[in-house]
Amino acid sequence: MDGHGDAAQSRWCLSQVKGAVDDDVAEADIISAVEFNHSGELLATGDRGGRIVIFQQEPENKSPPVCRAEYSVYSTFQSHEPEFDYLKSLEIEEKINKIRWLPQKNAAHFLLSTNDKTIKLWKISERDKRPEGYNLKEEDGRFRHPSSLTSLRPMDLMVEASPRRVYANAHTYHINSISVNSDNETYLSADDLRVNLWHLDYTDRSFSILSSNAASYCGPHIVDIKPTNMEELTEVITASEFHPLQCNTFVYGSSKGSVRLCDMRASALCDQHSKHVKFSHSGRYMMTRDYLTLKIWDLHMESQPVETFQNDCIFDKFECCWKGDDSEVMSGSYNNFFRLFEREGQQDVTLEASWESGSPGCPLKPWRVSTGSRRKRNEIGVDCLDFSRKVLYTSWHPQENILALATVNNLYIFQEKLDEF
Amino acid sequence: MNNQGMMSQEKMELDLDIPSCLVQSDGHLRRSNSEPMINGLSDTSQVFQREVLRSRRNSTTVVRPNVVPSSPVRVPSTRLQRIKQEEGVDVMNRETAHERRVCFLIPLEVQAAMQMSQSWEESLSLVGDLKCSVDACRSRVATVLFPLSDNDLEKSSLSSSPKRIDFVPVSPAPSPTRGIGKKQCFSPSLQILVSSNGLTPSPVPSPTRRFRRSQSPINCIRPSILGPLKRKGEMETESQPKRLFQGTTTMLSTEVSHSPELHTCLSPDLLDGSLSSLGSSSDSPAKMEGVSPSSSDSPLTPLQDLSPK
Repeated sequence: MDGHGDAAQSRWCLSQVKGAVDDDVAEADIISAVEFNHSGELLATGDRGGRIVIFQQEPENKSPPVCRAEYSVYSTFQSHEPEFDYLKSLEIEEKINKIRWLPQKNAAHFLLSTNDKTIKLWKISERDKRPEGYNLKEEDGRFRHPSSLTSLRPMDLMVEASPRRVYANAHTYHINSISVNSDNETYLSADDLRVNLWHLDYTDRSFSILSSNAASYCGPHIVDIKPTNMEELTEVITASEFHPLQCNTFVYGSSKGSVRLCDMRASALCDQHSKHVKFSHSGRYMMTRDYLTLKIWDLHMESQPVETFQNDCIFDKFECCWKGDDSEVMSGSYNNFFRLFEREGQQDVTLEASWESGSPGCPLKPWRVSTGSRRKRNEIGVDCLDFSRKVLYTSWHPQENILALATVNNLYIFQEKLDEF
Repeated sequence: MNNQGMMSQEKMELDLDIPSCLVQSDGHLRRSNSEPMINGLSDTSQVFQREVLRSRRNSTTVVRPNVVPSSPVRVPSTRLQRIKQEEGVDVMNRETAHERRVCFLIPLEVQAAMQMSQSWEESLSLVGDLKCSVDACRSRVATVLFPLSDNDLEKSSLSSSPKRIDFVPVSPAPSPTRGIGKKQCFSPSLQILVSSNGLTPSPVPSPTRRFRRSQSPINCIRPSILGPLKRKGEMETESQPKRLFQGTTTMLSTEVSHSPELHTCLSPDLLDGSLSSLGSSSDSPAKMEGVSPSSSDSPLTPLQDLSPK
């Protein structure tokens, strides 16, 4: 496989674009969450209107092998509705902040979706039969044959989304993260000042850790950074995630630039320095993103990151994600750019999410961001970057080189060119 | 957060007094943003009628590109400043409200807590300027809230929780017909929402149906632009003639803005009753081809251009 270094073209090409291309964007249509499931077959998106649209990857088609990623709408439902907090006289947005899939255990799919205040567990199941034949008599009065009564008949495939659990009223502040534990029984939810631990089966309580150190007892939360005197508040929690393999380990990052790795067994904390965290698939590494850099940390080495990549995203909360084999990482950026970092060769490439700049199947041309305000072919000065166009939400297919990312209201699916043709 | 700009495009019409600290300068109700805020009501306790609020929800806000989110000069400490400011107000109000105190029992079950929030509305009007700020751990801790004096606030005998409990009742229990237990069903082959009994919409639209029936919001969702239909921007590498195209989001958004009393929804009845009438409407800004959902033998070509001109 080529590295990223080729200036003429990258390995990546545009596969699909979903959504409207109107200039006027309805607020409800702005995408706010993107997440592949564990097999990569399903791709869920959430938007500010509280809706979830799930795409399903269609079977590989026989024609040009370059066309591999074909996602079509599989299910769509209203996950959250706006609510009103009477006490505070504030509206609670229905915007979907995060979607997390549960590992699949049976034919149905489960996902957690959350807005600012409420997390919901949704069951997505298929139905392709329906019962028919309840009537004992035909229209004209004849008795029906017993074998035709109440049977299951095939019908067009229908995908049902039903809410199985609603986990409400546990967050005073706005939920920014949810993360499913590797034990598949618990998950955490984090807001600005607290992290709660839930058991999937119980909606009326969250769990806490009893610690021998009384000072670290947080009440009904597993992390509580709210100071007694709010005047002393200096940081908020920006993200939190469970370790993918160790069910007792989780991290949370703070706005001040620290990342804390927590062991629920021992309430052990260790400090790193960053802002946005993501464990690698292997669990060995952790990726953190702060204002200007993307860092890969080896969990066994606390002192410094093993790799550092320069990233020029400031202030906005760009998601970053790992490739399935952890060899590459990706982060969104301004100007509808997204950047891929190859860990081994320390190479990176900047690409643009735009349906104007390339037809499906054609390799994307990398961009260069230079200083000043130049604007040339595939080169743009940093002063010319459009900061209103951002790729905030990204997800990498866990097994294939397929990327899903969202601009304001469009979902882009990119795939890596296959070499053989 | 960027809600301020977008919020300004939505009007909230209430004929009640709104505490000034909660109202933006342009008179609109403040929208919850992402900062931690512990805030009860400041001077006056207000109870907002749910019916009044419901009426605003149907308009989709159009965001002009230049209003869309932020320049990178935004300072991250703004959020912290706002949290502290809110808390400062909170503390001040608690100090001035030392005359009256209320004790609440927080039950463990959410059910009871929901009922509690109902009675809050009554209690608050009696309490007057009492500032109640509590944590949302009410369903987890059974304890007495609210000490009898400011001093007691610090040394309250709440053994199983931090020194102060903040109580944030969210809106009262949703209608039992909402949320849990209500399935939403989608047909991938037809690319439309269907009713949960699996029946597809009837192929013949009723000739007498001119107006959309009021639909319960439970069964309907506002369609997303991502699905279930192709838009202009979608570039599939091969055409999929089997896809069916129904009403567009644009169309329904327009509809909604004209009939605010109706929740947007995409039900089989609705689609089916509206397709032909709207498709022929010349003043509808959205171009749309009405297609009967049941006809599977006619070749259907992907819509090329759905954007309003």
